[in-house]
Amino acid sequence: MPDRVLGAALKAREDVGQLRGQATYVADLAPPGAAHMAIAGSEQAHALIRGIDTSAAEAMQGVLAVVTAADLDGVLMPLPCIWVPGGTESHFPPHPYGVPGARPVLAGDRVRYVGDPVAAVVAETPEQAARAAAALRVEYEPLPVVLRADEAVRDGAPQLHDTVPGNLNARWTCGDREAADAAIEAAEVVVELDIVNQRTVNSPIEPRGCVGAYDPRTEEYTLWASTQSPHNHRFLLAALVLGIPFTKLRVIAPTVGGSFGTKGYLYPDMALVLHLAKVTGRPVKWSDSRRGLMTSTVQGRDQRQHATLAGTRDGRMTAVKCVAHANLGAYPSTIGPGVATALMGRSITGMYDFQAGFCEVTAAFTNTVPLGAQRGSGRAEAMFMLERLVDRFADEIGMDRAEVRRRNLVPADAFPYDNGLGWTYDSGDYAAALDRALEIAGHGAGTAERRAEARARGRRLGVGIAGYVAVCGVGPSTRMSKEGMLGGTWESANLRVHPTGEMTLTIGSSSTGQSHETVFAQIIADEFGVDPATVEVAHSDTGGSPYGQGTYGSRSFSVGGPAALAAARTLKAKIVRTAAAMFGVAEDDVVYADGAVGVPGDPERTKTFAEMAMVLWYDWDLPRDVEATLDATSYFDPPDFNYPFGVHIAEVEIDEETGAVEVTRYTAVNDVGRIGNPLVVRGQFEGSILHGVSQALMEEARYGDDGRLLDPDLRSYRLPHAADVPFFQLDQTVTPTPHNELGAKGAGEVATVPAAAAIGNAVCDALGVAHLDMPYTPEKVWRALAADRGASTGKEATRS
Amino acid sequence: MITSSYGFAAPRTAREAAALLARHGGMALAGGQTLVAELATGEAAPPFLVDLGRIESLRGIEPRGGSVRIGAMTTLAELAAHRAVPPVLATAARNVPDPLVRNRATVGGSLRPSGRASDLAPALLALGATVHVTGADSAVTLPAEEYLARSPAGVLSAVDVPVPGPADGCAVARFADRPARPPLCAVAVRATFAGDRLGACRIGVSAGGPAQRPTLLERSLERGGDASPDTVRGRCAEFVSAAGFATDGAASADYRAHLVRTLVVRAFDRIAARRVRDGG
Ligand SMILES: Cc1cc2nc3c(=O)[nH]c(=O)nc-3n(C[C@H](O)[C@H](O)[C@H](O)COP(=O)(O)OP(=O)(O)OC[C@H]3O[C@@H](n4cnc5c(N)ncnc54)[C@H](O)[C@@H]3O)c2cc1C
Repeated sequence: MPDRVLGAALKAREDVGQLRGQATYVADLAPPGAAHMAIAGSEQAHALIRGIDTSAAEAMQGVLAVVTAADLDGVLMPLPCIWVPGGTESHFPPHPYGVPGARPVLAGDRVRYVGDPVAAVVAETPEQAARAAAALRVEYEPLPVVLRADEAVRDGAPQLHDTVPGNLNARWTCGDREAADAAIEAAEVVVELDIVNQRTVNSPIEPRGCVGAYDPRTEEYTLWASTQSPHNHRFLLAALVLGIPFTKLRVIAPTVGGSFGTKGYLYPDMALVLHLAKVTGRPVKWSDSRRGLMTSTVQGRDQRQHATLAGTRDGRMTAVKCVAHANLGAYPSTIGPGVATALMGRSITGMYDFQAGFCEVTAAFTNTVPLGAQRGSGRAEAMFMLERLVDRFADEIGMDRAEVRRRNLVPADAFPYDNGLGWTYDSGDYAAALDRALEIAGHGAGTAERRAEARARGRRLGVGIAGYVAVCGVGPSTRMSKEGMLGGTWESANLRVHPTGEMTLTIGSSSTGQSHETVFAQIIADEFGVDPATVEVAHSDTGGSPYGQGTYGSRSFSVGGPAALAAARTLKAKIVRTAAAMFGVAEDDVVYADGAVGVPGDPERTKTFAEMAMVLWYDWDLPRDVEATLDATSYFDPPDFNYPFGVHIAEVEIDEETGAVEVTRYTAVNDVGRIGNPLVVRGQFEGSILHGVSQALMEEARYGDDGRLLDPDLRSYRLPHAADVPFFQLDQTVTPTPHNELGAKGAGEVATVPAAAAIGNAVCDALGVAHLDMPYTPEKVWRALAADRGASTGKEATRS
Repeated sequence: MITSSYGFAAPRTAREAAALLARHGGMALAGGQTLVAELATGEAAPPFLVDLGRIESLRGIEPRGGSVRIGAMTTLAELAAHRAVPPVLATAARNVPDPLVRNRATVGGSLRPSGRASDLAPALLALGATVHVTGADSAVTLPAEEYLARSPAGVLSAVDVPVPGPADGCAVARFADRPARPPLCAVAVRATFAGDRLGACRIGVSAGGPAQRPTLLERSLERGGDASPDTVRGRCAEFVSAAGFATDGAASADYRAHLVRTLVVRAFDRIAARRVRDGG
C-alpha cells in the first residue's frame, strides 16, 4: 500500500449504492405529475411516408398528446453532427443553422431504418402510451434497402438523403498514398487481408432514458437523462435543437449505468421529452427497454477493410495500407463520422515504425441504426486489422510472431514519435511491455507443450499476440477543431472548501461507471494530505457547476484530473500565502506538508488544513489582498493527446468436435501512465478485455435483407456472462505522459483495443487459417475445422 | 413492458384451472421464464392468464414404487436437489446454468415447445416419463413423447418418471454456444445392458429451431451391439441425419445433426466411464 492516497487501491465509494440497488437511475425518477412518452418507430427499413393517421391513437384512453414530424416543423431543429472529418468529399443532410447536421427528431417524408422514430405519444401511463403508439397507422411506400457501406456507394444503390449523392458521407484519407504504394510495389513480401469488422449492439446494462420538465413561469427546461455529456448536450440542445437561450436549459444526469460511448450522443427522445413537457404542461418521462435499445441507440464498429502490409524477408515491416468502408447507418450520429474515419485511420500503424502508411475510409449511409462509438472505437478496428496483418506477415516469412513484432517496435528513444498519419506518440517503452507480456504468458517452450497436451484432449490450442497504441485524452481543443470537431475538448474543475475543512469538488466530466467520485477525491486528498472521505465529488448537473465536456475517449482522469489538481494547487498556494501573512513570515518560510501549513519546527505557527479553511471563512484580520474563502475553478486543455499502449496475449482452445472456443488464459500488459487507483483501473481493464473478447467470440448485429435485426433481444443476441470471463493475468508498465501533471494516460477503454485482435490471432493460429472473420461462433469454427479436415484428407488422397 | 390486457385468475385446483383455460382460450402461467418474455414482446397475447402458483396438488415430489411422481409446478432447483429424483434428471435440471431461472422455471413449463432446445425434455424422454394432463372434465395420462409431439390442451399436473434399474446406464450431454447459455442441443441416453452387451436404448433429443420438438430415438442400438465407442459412433451416424433438424439464425441443420451425434457419443462415453468406475 503506497503511503500516498493518489495511487492507492481504495474501494470505489459509489459501488455500494449501485450494488445494493440504491442508486437513482433515470428510470427511478418519478417527478410529481409525470406523464409518459412512447416512440413509434418505423416498421420499414426504407420507405416514403404517405401519411400518418393519428386519430385512433389520439382517441385512446389516457392519451395527452401525439406528435409527428409535421408538428415539429420550426419547433425542433434536426440534431446536429459535431464531428465532421472532412476529406476529399464530405456530404451531410442539412441543418437550418448551417451546421453540418443532421437527423430529424422525427422522420418526415421518409424513414431510413427499422426503428426510425416517426411519432411520439404522451399518455398518463407507460402502457397507455405504448398502446397508443402501436395504434398509429403509418402508410409506407417501401423503397429498396441497402445495408452495407460498400454496396451503398455503388452506382444504382438506393439513395437515402437528397443532399448526399451516392450515400457518400466522406471520403477521407490520411498518410502518404504514393509512398505507401511505392513501398508495397517495391517490397519483397506483401500480405493482404479482407476483413469484416462486424457491427455490434452497444449494450450498457442500463438502457437509455430521459425526463423533460418545463416551468412556464421561468420558461426554463430541465432534462434528466442518462448522458455522459450533460454540458455538451445542454449546449447543443439549447442552441441548435430547441433554439432557446442557454440559460433556459439545465441538464442533469443521475446515476448512469454504463455507456461505452453510447450516451454521449444526442437522441430524438431528449428533444421530444423537453418539447412535449411544454406542450402537455407535465413532466414527460421516457424509459427505453432492452429491446428498444437495439434500435434506439448507436451501434458500434462495422467496417470492411482491405488491408495490405509490406516488408522484407528478414522481418522489417515497411508499409501498411488500409482501404475501408465504414457503415454510418441511416444518419450521421453526433460524432459518429469522426469515429469511423480519423480515430480508425490515423491509428493503423499501432506500435510499429513503418516507413509509410496510408488509410482511406469511405463512410456511407445505409438503412441501418446510426453508428457511434463503442469502447475503443476506431482504434480497435485499426488494431484488429493491423495485428492480423502482422501475423500473416510473420507466417509468410516464417518468422516467430513475437520476434517480428519486436523488430518493428517504435524504439523507446524515438519519442515524441510522429506516426506519419497524424498522431504524435507521447512516450513509451513498447519492448518492455512486449517482453513482460511474453514472460507472464509463458510464451515459448511452454506453449508447444500445452499445444501437444491439448491436442491429446481433442482440442486445438492457439496463441494470439496483439499490441496496441490507443490515442486517448481527447483532447487539445485546437487540434480537435482541425479534426473537424465542433466544440472545445478541455475539462474543468471547481474546488470549494467548506468552513469545516470538508470540500466539494465539482467536475465537468461525468461518471458512467468509472468511479469519478472516488478517484477525483484521491487527487484532492493527496494534494492536501487529508482524508479522501472529506472530499465530496459532484458532477453531471449543469446547474451551478463549471462547464465541462463529458466523459469519452478515456479522458476524465488525464484531462479532467489535471484541472482538479490545478484547482487544488491554486488553493494550496493561497493557504501558504495566507499563513505567511498570519504568521508574519515570508512565504518561502512557510511549508505545507502532511495536511498542515506552518513554519517548520514551530507548532505555535502551524495550522491544519481545516483550521485554515475556518480562518479564510471568517476572514478576520486577513490582509486586504487575500479574498475570503477557498474556492477555485481551473480548466485544462492538454497540449496534445496521450497514447496508452500495451501487449495482450490470448490463449484459446478449440473443441475439435463442436468448434467451441474457450479462452484458457488471457495475459495483458497495459501502460496507461500513472494510475490514480489501481483497483478502479483493473476493473476497467477486465471489463475492456471482456468487451473485446465478446466482439471476437459472440457479438454481431445481424440484419436480415429487409433491414430488420435478426437478434432483436438478448434471448438470441449474445452478450458475455460471468462464465465467459477469461482467466486474466494482468500487469502493467508505467510510462508517464509529459502532457499533464498527473502523468496519466487514458485507461477506461484502452484494453478493449487489442483484445479482439488477440483472440482473432489465437483462433486463426489454432485453426491454421490465414483469416477468419469474427465472431468466432462454434458453428463457424466447426466449418473452418471441417474445411481443414477436408483439405488434409484431400492431400492424403493425392499422396497415396 | 406488457401492453396487452388480459383477464387473470389464480385458482386453487387443476380442474378449475383447466376449466378457465378452456372457457377463455387462455394460457397457463407457471414460472413465467418463457411466457413473461413472450408477453413483453407481444409474441404471446392471450386474452386470459391462469396462474398455477396456488394449486397445491401441482407441487411435490413423491416416490411411488418403481417411479417418482413430480408435480408440474416443481421448480428445476427443487428437481436438482431432491434425493428421490433419478440423478440423470437432477443433472439435466442443474445443467440449466442460470440459478435465477432454475429457481423459477418449472417442470410443466419445460415441457411446452418453445422453439428452443431444452435440457429437461430429453431426460424425461429417455427415462420413459408419462405425463398427467387435467382437462376441464377429464384427465389423461400419456407418454412424454406423445405429450411433446401434440401439446394437448389442459393443465399438465404431474409427470411419472420410472427410476432406472441397476442394468441401466443414463447420461445427459448438452452443447451451448457459450457456457452459460441455453443449449443449442441437448440429449439424454438411457441404455440397458445385458452383461457387456447393449440392450434397449432410449435417446431423448432436443435440438431447437422453429417447430422442432424434443424427440425420442428408440429404434436403434437395440439390436444388441457391443457398447464400444466405435459401435456407438457408427450407429449414431446411421440414425441422426440432418433431415430432421432445422436451420435458423442460431444454427444450421447439419451443424445441429453433427452436434446431436457428438452429444450422443459423449453421453455413451459418460455411461461407459461410469460403468468402468463402478466395475459394472
Ligand atoms: C435466461 C434464461 C435461461 C434459460 N436457460 C435454459 C437452459 O439452459 N436450458 C433449458 O432447458 N431451458 C432454459 N431456459 C428456458 C426455461 O427452462 C423455460 O423458460 C422454463 O422451463 C419454462 O418453465 P416456466 O415454469 O417458467 O413456464 P412459463 O414461462 O410460465 O410457461 C411456459 C409455457 O408453458 C405453459 N405451461 C406452463 N406450465 C404448464 C402446465 N403445468 N400445464 C400446461 N401448460 C403449462 C405456459 O402456458 C407457457 O405456454 C432459460 C430461460 C431463461 C429465461
